[in-house]
Amino acid sequence: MTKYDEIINKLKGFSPEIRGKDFHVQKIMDRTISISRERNSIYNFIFGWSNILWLRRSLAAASIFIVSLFVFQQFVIVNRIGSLEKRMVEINTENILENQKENVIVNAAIFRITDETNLTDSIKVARKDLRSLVGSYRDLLKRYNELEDEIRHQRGEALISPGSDNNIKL
Amino acid sequence: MIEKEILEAIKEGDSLAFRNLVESYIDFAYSLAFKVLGDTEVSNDVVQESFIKIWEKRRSIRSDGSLSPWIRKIVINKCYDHLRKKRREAGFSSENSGKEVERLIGSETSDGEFQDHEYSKLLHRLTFTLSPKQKLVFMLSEIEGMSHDEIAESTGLTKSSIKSNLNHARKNLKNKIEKQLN
Repeated sequence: MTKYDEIINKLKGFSPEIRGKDFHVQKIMDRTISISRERNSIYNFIFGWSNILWLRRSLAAASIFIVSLFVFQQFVIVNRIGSLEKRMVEINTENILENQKENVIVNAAIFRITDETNLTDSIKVARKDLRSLVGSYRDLLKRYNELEDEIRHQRGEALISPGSDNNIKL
Repeated sequence: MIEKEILEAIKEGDSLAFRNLVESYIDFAYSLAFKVLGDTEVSNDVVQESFIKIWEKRRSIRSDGSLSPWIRKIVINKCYDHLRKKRREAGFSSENSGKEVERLIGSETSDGEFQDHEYSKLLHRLTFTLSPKQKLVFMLSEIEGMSHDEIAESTGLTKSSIKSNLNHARKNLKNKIEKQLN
């Protein structure tokens, strides 16, 4: 018999015995009772599900999905806001240009009025009234053009419009 | 042997019936734990944790089958958890180690058996270089005399893994014994 076999036989032949068996049994019972009490507590009733491994994993997966969805949604919203802002800037620019155009017309009209009235008697016209006048003129011009188009369409021939050049004549 | 009625009662959460089970199997569980771990305190803790796990899993007790393999599986898994936590045990110097092992092999009580602390010392001197898996497989196969199938069933390891770990452990121990005793 080799030394190895001798040692193995020695270890194999050993049979340990628990000391204080009753004490250990009681300890185990006390712990199982306290575990049972914990299980029955309200806290455990509410949060007991967290001990279920598959449920915990499923909820973790669901939360990851929801967070990903939220991030994606935020990304889409930010992009949309960006494009809306861009469009708003474009609209504002158009409005500004339109106003500027109108202002130029009004200013030109004021210039012409004041230029002419300097020679005759002087009158004061409010900028608001003048703006309204120019607005009416432009509206009239637009309607005239539409009417002209309608006539052209009905006759089927091109008409030479005397007011085709949109010069302001006051 | 626990009767079927008692097992049914345990399943229902009867603590008295469970006490009966603990009293019947605590020696078996402690013996297994101590043989694998070689430490009284730790073995007591492992036994306690094992029975608490049995209580928690009482609904999966099968009334028709034997309880021993199931309890053994739980105790072995608890032992393995402990071995993994305590991965690196304090090493022993090789100086006088041979004499110590020789003395431990020769020491016998009037009953011709080891004392707990002697078994513990010898076990630690021989197996402190083994990995937790090697130690567990070696103890179950060589000391407890379990078959490879039983070890695979209890630990969840594959047979090839059991064989390779066991061979490595045997080789390691034989070398160590040769070095220390010759």
